[in-house]
Formats: sequence, C-alpha cells, structure tokens
Amino acid sequence: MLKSLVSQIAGTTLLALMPFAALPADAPQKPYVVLDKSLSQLRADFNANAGKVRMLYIVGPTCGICLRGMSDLQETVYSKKGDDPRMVTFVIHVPTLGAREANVGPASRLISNGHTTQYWEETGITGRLMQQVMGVDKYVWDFWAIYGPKAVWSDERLPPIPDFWQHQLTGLPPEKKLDATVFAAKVDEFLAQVPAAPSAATTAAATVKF
Amino acid sequence: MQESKKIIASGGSAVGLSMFASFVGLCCIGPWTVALLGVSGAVSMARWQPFRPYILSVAGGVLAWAFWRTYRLKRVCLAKGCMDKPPGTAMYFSLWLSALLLVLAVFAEQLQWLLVDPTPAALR
Repeated sequence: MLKSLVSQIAGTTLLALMPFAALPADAPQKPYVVLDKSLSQLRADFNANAGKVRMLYIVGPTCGICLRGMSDLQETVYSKKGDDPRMVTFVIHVPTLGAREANVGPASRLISNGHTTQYWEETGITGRLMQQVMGVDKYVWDFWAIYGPKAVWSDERLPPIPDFWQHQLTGLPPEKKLDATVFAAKVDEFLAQVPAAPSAATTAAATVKF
Repeated sequence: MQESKKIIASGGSAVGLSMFASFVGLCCIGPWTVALLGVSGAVSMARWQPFRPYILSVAGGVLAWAFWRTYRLKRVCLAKGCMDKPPGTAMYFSLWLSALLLVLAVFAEQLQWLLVDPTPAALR
C-alpha cells in the first residue's frame, strides 16, 4: 500500500518535472540571433572573421524585393560557393514595413549555409547607422555590402564603409542597383585576395609527412 | 460575338491586367504579401516587377481598344440606328473605372511610399 503510494507520488512528481527537464534540449532553436541596439554581437562577429570576405545585408523580412534579392544571391553566390570558409555573411533583418520578429524565421531560409548568420534587430538602428556611414539622406535598408579581408569594425557604433555595395532603393544611384551577377563577380574578386584554405586531403597529407 | 460582349471582354482584360500590375507594384506595402502568399509567393511576385511596364502597356492597349469600340458603336448607333444593343451607362461606367484603375496602377509604386513609411517605427 505504502509502496504503491510512494511510487504514485514519485511518478506524478516525475511527470510534473518532465517538461522542465525536457526544456533545454527540446526548445526550438531560433534560426537567427537577436541583436540589441548596441550591435555589439554583430561587431564582435564581424571582427572575429577579419581576414575573410564578409557580406553584410540589411533587409526587411516582409519586403518582397528584399526577399527576391536574397533569393537571387542564394542562386548566384551561395549555391555555388556557400561552403567556402573564406566567405562569411551577416544578414540583418530590420523592422521596415511593419515587420516583426515572427517574419524573420521564414525569410532567413532564403540564404542558408554554415557561414551565414541571420540577425533580428528590432529597433532598426542598423539602417540608421549605415545611413550615417554612407552619408545619404534616407534610411538605408535593402542594402547589400561586401567588406574585404582587411576591413575592421573599429568604431564603437558605426560600421565601416563597405568596400562594395549595391541597393534596391529609390533615391540612391541607379547604377548601384543590386545585380546578383555583378555582385557575385565582386565576391570572386575579393575572394581572390584571401588564400584558399587547405583542403582536408592536403591537410591530412601534410600531417602524415610531418 | 456581339459588339457589347467584345467590349466587356476587353474592358475586363484591362481591369484584370491593371489589377495584376498594381499588385506587382504594391508588393512592398506592409507585410501583406508575405502574410498572404508566404515568402516564396512574395519572391515570385517581386520577380514580375521588371515586367510591370509591359503589363501596363498591354492593359492600356486593350483598354484603348475597348474605348474605341464603345464610342464607335455609340456613333454608329446615333448615325444610322443600331441593330445591336447600344452601349449602356454601366458599360461607360466600367470603362472609366478601368481607366482610373489603370492610372492608379501606373503610379502604384509612387503611391505606396505616400501611404507607407518603410522606416522602422522606433526611428520615425
């Protein structure tokens, strides 16, 4: 009788605790990083990848044209060399056109590879800071930038001036409109400045020789 | 096919094309495209963007043809009596409504920035 009561209590307790025990492992992981308005995480990630070619995109996750831009770059750049470890991409989703955090997950699937990090920055300050950097009079988004291997984010707030950029906005130079083919060619140019990482086979052979 | 039916068909085509061109032009107003069509639908719609001028031109052509037929029919009916049913008020109304829709479609991109400020709310 007592045994049965104890086992019942134990069983009930275990059942009650199960959700808590399961939480850390089973909680769905967000496919993006949430940035605070200091952008410290983005800055740290940017500088941690110095020596590589870095792409930085400021997009609205509900803007059809931005989504098309991401899709075009996935086709022309990432489907061909998305696994290249010399290339790192930061996609910053900002709340333009009333976008919310819930919109980021689906949009972030458009560019997906091991070297791309998606961010949600809910104040939109990223675009304002980029506006200051670029010296333009309108909020900067739908903006596609490449930084060469030597670029460093040294300022506390402002990101560095991009080495190459394109956009899909009205009011910025039309000759700088996003053209995925031109963009991909520029990526190749910058990649040529970074020595190719030794392949696994070469590394293995070198290890054996050593 | 009756003259009036041809006019209705061409007017209807112009309305359809104008509305489609408007939807393509208004792809960036709020989160509605993503909400309604999903991410891939929004991308597909945005891919029509370069074809907007052509769609609008075809819509304009079809509508001009509908106008010409309608007013020609009216003239014919006035001159020598009409075998066919003359165009009624509803037809004129729908034609002019189509024309208005087409004009709105032409300026859809400019209108959207008057209606919607894309800047994040916290920074306005």
